[in-house]
Amino acid sequence: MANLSLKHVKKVYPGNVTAVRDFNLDIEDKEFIVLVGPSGCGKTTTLRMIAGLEEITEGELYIGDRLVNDVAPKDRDIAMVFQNYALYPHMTVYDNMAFGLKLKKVPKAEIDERVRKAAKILEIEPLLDRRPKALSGGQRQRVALGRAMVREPKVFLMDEPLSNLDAKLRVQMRTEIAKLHKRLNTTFIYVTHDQTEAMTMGTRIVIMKDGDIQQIDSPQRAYDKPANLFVAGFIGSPQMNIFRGNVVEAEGKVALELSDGTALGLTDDAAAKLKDSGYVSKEVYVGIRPEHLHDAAVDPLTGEYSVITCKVEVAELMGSETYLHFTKCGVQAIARVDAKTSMRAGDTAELHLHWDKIHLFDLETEKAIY
Amino acid sequence: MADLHRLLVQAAGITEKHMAVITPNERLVCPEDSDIDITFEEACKNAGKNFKGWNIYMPEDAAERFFLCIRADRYYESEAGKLVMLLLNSAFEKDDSVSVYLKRALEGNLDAAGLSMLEESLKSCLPGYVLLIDNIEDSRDDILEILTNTMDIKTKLIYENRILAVAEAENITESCSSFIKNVLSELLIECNAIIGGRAARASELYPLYRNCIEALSLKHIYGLGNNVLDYDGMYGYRVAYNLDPSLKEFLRKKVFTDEFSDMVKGELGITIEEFFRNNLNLTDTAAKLYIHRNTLLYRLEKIYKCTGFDLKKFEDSWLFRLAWIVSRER
Repeated sequence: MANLSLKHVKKVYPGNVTAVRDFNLDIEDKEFIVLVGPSGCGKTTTLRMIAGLEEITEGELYIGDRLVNDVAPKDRDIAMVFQNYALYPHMTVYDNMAFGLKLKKVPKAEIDERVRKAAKILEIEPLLDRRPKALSGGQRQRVALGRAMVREPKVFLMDEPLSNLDAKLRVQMRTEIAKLHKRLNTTFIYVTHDQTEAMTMGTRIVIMKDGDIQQIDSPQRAYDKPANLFVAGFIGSPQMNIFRGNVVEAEGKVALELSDGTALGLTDDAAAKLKDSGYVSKEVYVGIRPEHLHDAAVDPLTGEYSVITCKVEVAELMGSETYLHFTKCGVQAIARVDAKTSMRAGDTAELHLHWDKIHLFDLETEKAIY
Repeated sequence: MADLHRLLVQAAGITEKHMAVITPNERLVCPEDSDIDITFEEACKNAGKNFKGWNIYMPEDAAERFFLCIRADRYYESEAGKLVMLLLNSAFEKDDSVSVYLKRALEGNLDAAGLSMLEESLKSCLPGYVLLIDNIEDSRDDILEILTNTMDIKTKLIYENRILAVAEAENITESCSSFIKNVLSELLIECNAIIGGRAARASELYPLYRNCIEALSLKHIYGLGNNVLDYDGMYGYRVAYNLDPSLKEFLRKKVFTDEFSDMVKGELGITIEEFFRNNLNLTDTAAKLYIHRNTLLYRLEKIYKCTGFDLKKFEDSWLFRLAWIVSRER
């Protein structure tokens, strides 16, 4: 069993600089947890506390049922994989993978068994006799993973392992690590600043900012129901368009009005929530994901939707879709529409938006209202 | 004891410190008029501590043959003790291995003939980078194994639970970084690799070793997180440390008002660090912090209003950076 529990974990560096504040998280056995957030959010510090490389200032860390706050890193049954893989240049792939076990004085037969087993899972068996120089970037990364795998740890800790790979390889390795997790059936804790990696790999993601957890959820829920304005902007690419709008009530119906007079309809649930929480006549943040704006000319909506008109500044054809860049109410916004659109720079576009695709956030607390 | 006395005189001369060697039966003091009131028993009890204004050092094999005492008021300066310890240890040993030659080269106290002999014995090891590996816990053999497999190590020695090596690499910083990661991956130990510089001759080993010690001291003094330290790249910290205390105080007062000190404990502190890390590039910094460029500008404006330093301007930014380093001094 390799479930982990972090209870009220806090890290304060000398000079009273708080890196992580009251971090609470229960990680299930065999779960793939991703810690994601911008630079300085505390994600790497949290990983290092789990590894034992950083002292925990306050709180408790359990691996299984064992309190490990004061347990040395080597006795925590963990393995780490880093962003800049460092292989031994003069050793073969086999020896690179076996080296750590040799240091631990593991019997030769067992080393051989573990190395070959890991090589098979990673599909690098034909490379075992090669030296690092003769490997591609992706193959080297797999060997680095293999070096961690042969330790057969309870928990894998990965600190941005893909960040030094080129974009194409990163996508490929993303899938491979996700597959590896399924094959190994072990707990993975993965740190990244890349929301796409977080969304595609984690069974749950922990979104952090300034040492605080912003949201712990499945990738889908974090995308559908962001807990606050930060998560809304951080998760999703291109990022969510954020406008300011007034909550207005006319003839018993609650709606939104942007500063240029654009009216946005709301579902009954959203309207009731705004009214019951006293937001009528107040200003709120209105979040609209680029993919929820449809070009009325090629992909019109039916049912309950609003119309947003805008002047296209740039149209970027991405292949399967087109990004229309425009400015609305002083905000630079993007609509991710069907590639069949004929809209070009200078055209006036009519965009459709389903009422149930609107996200609302409190102007002061920035917490999600609906 | 005559040899020992000669070494002590030389060590005191090199380090300009008051020194004493205490053995069970004898006490050597240099300069001879130094006032030291420590018995051998007291030295045993207080080894590794500062006692009565003297730092007390144990021999590396802990055999309690003698204790070295150095009058010291600062950790930075007391590092000299480790050098002298090396010197004294070698006086007690008679070994002609390369390691001992290396130790002797570090002492920097050989005459021309001795140096020439050392040059000859270290010929195959030089030129090379002088590396100091610190924080090796109780895994020195495993760490040595990893070190020799990560880069070309010409010679090495262990003392006071550190590894000193002469290494050759195409990119020494990158090789050190690989070494640190390998140790972390294999042993889950976070050690430090300090690059003192490149030695071409045996006589250069001593000053380059001193560089390593200075770099390591600066790491502790400024709480640097880097595990690979290149002495040549630490100009900023060296300048900051050597500033006149009154100038340091002036900088602290000028920048770190009570209001600003509170402000930098949160996101503003992270912003400043990231802005410097990204070479004052607004776009890169904003991207790393995942904030809008305007938010970054707003934060920089906040710093300007509070301190009078506009970090977007070169003149202000380097002075602020200096004050920022000084403020981290422990």
